[in-house]
Amino acid sequence: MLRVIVMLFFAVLSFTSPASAAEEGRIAVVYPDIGEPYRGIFTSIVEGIEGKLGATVASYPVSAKTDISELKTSLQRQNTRVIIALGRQGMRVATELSGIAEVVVGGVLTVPEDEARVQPVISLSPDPALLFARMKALMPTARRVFVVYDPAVNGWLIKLAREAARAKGLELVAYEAQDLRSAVMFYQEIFSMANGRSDVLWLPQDSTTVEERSILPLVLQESWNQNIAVFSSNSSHVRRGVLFSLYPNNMALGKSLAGLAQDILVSGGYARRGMMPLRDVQSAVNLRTAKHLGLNPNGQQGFDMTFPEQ
Amino acid sequence: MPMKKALNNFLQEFTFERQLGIMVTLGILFLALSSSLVGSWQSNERVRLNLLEQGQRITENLASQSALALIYASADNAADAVSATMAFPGVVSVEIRDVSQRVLLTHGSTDHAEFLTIVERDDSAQTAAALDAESRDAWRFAAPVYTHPSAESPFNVQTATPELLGHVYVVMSKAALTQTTTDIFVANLATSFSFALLLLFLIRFLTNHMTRPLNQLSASMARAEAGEFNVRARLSGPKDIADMAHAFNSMMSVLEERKLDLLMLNETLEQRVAEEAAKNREKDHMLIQQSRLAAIGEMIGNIAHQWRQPINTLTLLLGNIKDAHEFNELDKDYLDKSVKEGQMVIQRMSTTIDDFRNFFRPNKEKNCFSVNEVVADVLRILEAAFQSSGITIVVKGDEDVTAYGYRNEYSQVLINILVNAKDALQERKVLAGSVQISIFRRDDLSKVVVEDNAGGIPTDVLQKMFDPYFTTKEKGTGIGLYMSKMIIENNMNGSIKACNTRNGAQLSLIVPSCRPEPA
Repeated sequence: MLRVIVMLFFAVLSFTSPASAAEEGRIAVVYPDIGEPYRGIFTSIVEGIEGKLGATVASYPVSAKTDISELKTSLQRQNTRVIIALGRQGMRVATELSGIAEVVVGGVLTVPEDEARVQPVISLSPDPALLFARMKALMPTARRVFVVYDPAVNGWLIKLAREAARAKGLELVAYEAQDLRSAVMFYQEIFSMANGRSDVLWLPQDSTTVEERSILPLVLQESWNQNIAVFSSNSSHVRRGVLFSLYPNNMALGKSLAGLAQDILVSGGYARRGMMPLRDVQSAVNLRTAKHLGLNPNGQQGFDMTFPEQ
Repeated sequence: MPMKKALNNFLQEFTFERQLGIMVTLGILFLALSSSLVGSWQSNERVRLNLLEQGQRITENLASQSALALIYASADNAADAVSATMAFPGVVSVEIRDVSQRVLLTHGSTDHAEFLTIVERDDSAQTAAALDAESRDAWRFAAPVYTHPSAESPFNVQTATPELLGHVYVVMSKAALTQTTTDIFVANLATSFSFALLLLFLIRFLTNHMTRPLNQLSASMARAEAGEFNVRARLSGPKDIADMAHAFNSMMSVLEERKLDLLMLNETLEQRVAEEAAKNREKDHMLIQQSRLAAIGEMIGNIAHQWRQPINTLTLLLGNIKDAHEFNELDKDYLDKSVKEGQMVIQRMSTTIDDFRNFFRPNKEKNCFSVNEVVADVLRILEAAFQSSGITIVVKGDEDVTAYGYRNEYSQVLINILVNAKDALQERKVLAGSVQISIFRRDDLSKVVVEDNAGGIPTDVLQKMFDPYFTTKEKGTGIGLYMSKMIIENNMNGSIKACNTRNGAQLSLIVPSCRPEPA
């Protein structure tokens, strides 16, 4: 009996071992054929995937000129069952290959709802729960979180944000703006009513409501003037003066994507579908802003990047 | 037509040099003017395009700097950009309007109603600055103002579309274009005319270089035409003109050679004419000699004919004297009578010799002679021959008809004519052959007409009968009638003509009569 159990165990192990899955080429990665600095990001993600799988994974750089039929033939030859699609181009190619394999998407900010519904997508937008947790850690007095968002882009994220805010005892005040002028109006409204002690402003990854050239400067200036803490889902904003941001840990993201792929292989189908926020994050803080706001971020502990750079 | 007439006048009245000068001058001036105009027009177009491009760039620049002002509906945010735009030369006014066309900011003064010409643009051009409208004095540019989405990243699945925030309008004056066009035109004109002037001088120099040898050649030709000798053109100027001059010189050389030959020919001509005349005279002399010899032969025949009878008579007389002696009938009376008769016969024979001698002695001078006497002399010689042939001769007409010329030659002609008539009558065996000689006096002319009944002269013979060496006789010389014609027409200023009558032929001799002696 024991012998049977042991044999069964090893059989299952061999069947599900990462090395086995990768060796059979059943997981492949397609990612954008692009130059730096983006190539480095995708390379890190692929490294994460390979780290999780424990072996080299077949990875295909793709572009608009990629011969889909040739790629399809190659994947089929390798008996690929799960394709990890990175970035916009990877996702577009994987969509055309979905007939031959299941797809896991990563390395994208957001996906239209009808596309996100059919497969699991790990977004590059940090989980609001993590953001709010970090916010509360930095500014315990925070009570209200303002956000201006485009529902077409971040509707799914704000849903999660409401739950996360509730869990953290925060009030999420979300304004829907579908164009820039509306967003400006809302920001002006926010700054007219917000106070620095208890109100914070969240800037999601949203090109409409967090427009770099016209809105961000306004937000940064007003928030500085009114001592209102601003945190962002875009790490580049920290350099410009936002208090803190969470940004992707590419390697960890890769591992998560690989984990999803393995689950699909094991279960034979999607366990989860739809948009998922990024939980594999790193953090950046602007100490100058923190000082201006009278906050003490415990020196540099807990943050992976600080600005101004030391 | 007046144009054509004027052109013809121009082409005919002016010298080649003048024509060339006028045409080249007009051509160069026209070229200068037209090139200035074309150059100005082209430059105008280029300047216009440049200004349009500049206007578009200014408008685009303003649009890119107006986004914030439109986003925040705050004119202050665009004040600097507007001021900078107004500082551009030619910019008259600036306007920023939001999406609803509400004016956010305006600077400068423009009456938009003056822009009657609206430039239609397709939708694809709506994203960039473009010429929106145009008036006589200004252009109006419009540019949309959009948001500037972040640079596309490989993480964005959805491409952010730029959002239209409003429009900016920039009005630029055309004064710069007008001024530039005028300046360019004036500069082009000045430059063109300067070069035209220079070119004119150069062409004038070249035309002189070309026309001088042409004029020299023309002068040489004029001298040659005037008859000057040894005219040669100078070999100068362009190659083709030098070739023309060379050809002219060659032509002149050949011409002068021919002239010399002609002169020599003329000089020897007299000599050759004289030689030929002498040859002709010799020939005529020979012809005359031949004719005379022929006539002599004829005459000897006639003499023989005339002497036959007297000789027979003498023979008979001598025979009678012998018979008388034999029959003892010869006495002094009989002998005296016979001798006297014999002497008369001999006298007649001697007269014939004299007639023959006189007849063939050529006259050296023209004299007045009696035509009637000449006819009588000729008949005396030929009477016997005609009688023996059974041909009757009739003479009628005027008495005392005279002629001025050579008597013996005249007689020779008459003999020739009468002998021809006799031969014709004999040849045609005319039974009652007759020859009628009519002598007339008409004004200052004497006319002798010899008419026979031998049946006439054939037409083809009639035309050639006076030609030398033409004869219808088997043993004829063909010079008798020719010599007769020469004698009567050339030597005696008369005429000899032949025609046919009803029964035979008629020959007419017309010779000037003697002039009456002054009283």
